[in-house]
Amino acid sequence: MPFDLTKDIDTEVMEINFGPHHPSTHGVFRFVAKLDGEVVVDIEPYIGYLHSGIEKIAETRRYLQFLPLVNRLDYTASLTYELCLCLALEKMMEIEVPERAQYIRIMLTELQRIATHLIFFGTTGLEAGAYTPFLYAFREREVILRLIEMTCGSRMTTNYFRVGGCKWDLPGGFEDLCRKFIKKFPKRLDEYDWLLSGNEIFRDRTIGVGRLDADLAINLGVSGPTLRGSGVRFDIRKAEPYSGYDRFDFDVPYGLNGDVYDRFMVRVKEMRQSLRIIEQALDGMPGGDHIAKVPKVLKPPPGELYYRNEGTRGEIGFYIVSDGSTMPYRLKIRGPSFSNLMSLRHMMVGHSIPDIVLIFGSIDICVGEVDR
Amino acid sequence: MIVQVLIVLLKLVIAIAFIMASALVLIYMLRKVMGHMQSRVGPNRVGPFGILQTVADASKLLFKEDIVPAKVDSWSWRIAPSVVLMASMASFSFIPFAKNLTMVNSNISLFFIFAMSSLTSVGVIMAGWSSNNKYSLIGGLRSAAQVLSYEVPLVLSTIGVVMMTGSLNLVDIVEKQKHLFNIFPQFLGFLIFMTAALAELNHTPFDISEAESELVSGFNTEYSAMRFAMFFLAEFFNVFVIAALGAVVFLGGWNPVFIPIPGFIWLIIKSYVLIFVIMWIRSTFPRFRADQLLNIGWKLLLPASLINIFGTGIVMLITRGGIS
Amino acid sequence: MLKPGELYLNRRFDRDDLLRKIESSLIGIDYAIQENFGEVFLVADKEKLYETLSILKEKLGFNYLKSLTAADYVDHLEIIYCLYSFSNAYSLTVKSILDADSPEVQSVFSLWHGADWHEREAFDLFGIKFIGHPNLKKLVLWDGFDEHPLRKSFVLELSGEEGGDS
Repeated sequence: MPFDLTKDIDTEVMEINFGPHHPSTHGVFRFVAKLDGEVVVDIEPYIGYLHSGIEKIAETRRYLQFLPLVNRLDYTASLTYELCLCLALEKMMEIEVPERAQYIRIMLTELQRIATHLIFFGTTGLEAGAYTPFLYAFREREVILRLIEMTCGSRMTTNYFRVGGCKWDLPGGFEDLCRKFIKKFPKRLDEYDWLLSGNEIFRDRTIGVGRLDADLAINLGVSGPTLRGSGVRFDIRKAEPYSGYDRFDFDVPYGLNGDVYDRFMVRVKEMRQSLRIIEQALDGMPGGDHIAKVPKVLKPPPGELYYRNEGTRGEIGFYIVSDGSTMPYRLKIRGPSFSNLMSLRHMMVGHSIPDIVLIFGSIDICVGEVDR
Repeated sequence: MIVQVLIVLLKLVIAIAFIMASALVLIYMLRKVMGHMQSRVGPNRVGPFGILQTVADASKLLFKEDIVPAKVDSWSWRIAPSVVLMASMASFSFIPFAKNLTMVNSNISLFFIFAMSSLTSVGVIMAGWSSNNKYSLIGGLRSAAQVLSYEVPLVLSTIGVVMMTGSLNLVDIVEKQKHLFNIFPQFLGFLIFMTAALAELNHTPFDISEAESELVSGFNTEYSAMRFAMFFLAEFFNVFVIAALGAVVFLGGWNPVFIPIPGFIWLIIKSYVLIFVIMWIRSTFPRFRADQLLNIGWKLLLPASLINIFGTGIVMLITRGGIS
Repeated sequence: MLKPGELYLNRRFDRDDLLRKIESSLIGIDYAIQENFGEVFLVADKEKLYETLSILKEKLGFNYLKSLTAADYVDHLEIIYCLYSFSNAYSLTVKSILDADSPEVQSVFSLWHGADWHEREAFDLFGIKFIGHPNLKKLVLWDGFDEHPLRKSFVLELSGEEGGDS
């Protein structure tokens, strides 16, 4: 039977499964992409592979016992979660944190912010095909992790902040190592930045890819660098300053197009701003106590509170319902990656497979805070 | 008569030994070069400075179990690695190492090399199709499309040199470069040659068919042990062949550069310099998307090589009064 | 909302201003105002909850849903919406009381697309049905697990030394 060349070929939509195991270090997350030829028509994400029921566990733990569990949510930047919980409890119990503790907290949080953004930088290069920036980024990260290990005792799950301040004061060699880091890092960051963002191939692959409109982003609850890449220059550290951030001078970078390149550049620029904060904290570090006088058993007064701060990936929120006892009645954790992930579908439709990998990397999720 | 046959066999053995040794050196060099560029060390455990690493890898591949999937198309699946390996080894036989040190001295050696190296795409398509795996098929077809698209600018970039030399014989091309290496008058041709060579070799920044294997498997998924080793070796043979070709056509072959050491050592040095540049590019650049890749091949390199030919012709018309 | 590229700096709001605006917009709807640790809470009636939230979104500019969650108070369930307004910098929490046995509420997906997964999670962990949600499936728990862990009736077994005041 001869071919009828006037009829359209009957094509089907092909489904490809991505994950839960990924070649890049994004964690266990699965999504099924429906492809028409090369172009993505729809995606459906599946989460829950890392669900550990932390909110249920919170109802049976005292607040101090719960603090180490919060580290596991965003395991790359655990101090940001500890900070949010401690600040929420301090607000509920009206505890005043000494200034030195505030400076130490800010300094360590910003160090972890740089560390997390370095991971993002390396994995974005890896997904685009450049193998080298990944290793450079991790080499820089080693210094930061050594600083954090010196102070907190552990590289990843730090368990350092307490309600009222920090567990112990900064160790002896911290300032020297930190100053060495501050001196060396900006030049190196310029070099690594130029390696990727100045590269024509990288720009071709990321500019115009994965656009996210500002209004849609706000409607979806997107926050952090993902939102700032779309033009909304909202950073909780500037908009609702907490823990002494209003005393520091730093800028909030933003992008206007909302594509992968803008989100990448926002995070690279944020690294520089974090370095400024660290330098100011080191220069102006006051003396004094590292922790306030806090009752041994934490019993916040009955009531509920939603407290938020700026984590590395966006807005971290804790909704604590306290009934006056030593354990929370209900503790809800709002992870930024949970809301940011909802924007994936809107960004990926209409792109091809190599773009999918880059778009997914540009949101920079951490599955611990998606699934909790 | 027997002596003739023995001489040919001896040449064959030496050539195969040389290119095998070269491949082993190249694999080690790649890992060390990329390692040091990424501020890490590379292999340094097996043997002094990790020299025996490739030997260890090769023996591992030798001892692995040879798995033949049940549903593959039996003969073409088995032959495909050999086709790819044969094509790269055959193109090696035309590279001249010195005036009298070449396996085959033919008047069309340049043409033959290009013809043989395009046979690798036949092997790739065979591998992709006979694997009975839709991802291998897509990977194989992608790779073949890329190689075929960049074959055209690769060949055209050397036409300028052929016009200046007046012969397709590689020995003649090197002889004519006694005083001036072809890279200086034919710089545009050299750039196009290097770029198209990267695409021919499926190297970064044009390695979409290998990177796709993060999500979708490449054409050599269903192969294991020695069959995979043959694809792997073929890739390194190709690297050496194309680098040696670049050294012969553009960098003056065995003509010495100030220091008088034997010619074939110069050729090896020059081709290793080009290989180092290829590895340098591999550690630095991100990769192109498939459509951007084909765009560059057809819309950028092809017109550039045509302009090169046109320009060469005009300059030759002015200086020599026509093509010699 | 500020123009693209304009910095949101020191966004505080006046509590009385917010309360006045709420009073003038929510006419004819019963609600109660609570205050906890300096934050404003609005307890709305379940029947008029969707209307309340859409008026809050249209008139007061609450275009950002910070969090949507629930809490189990054994005899009733409370559903909690944390809202934020970018243009006016208001921060408000809206609560409503749901039936403990078969909790149902109107979905706010059409107001804020960000409620999508929050509602699916509440459905999964509490058993609250959201009417009008386009894709109400389980989110974090595995298929076949039909219990609702965050309810107080689901008891988490503590073994030995761990947990609480044991």
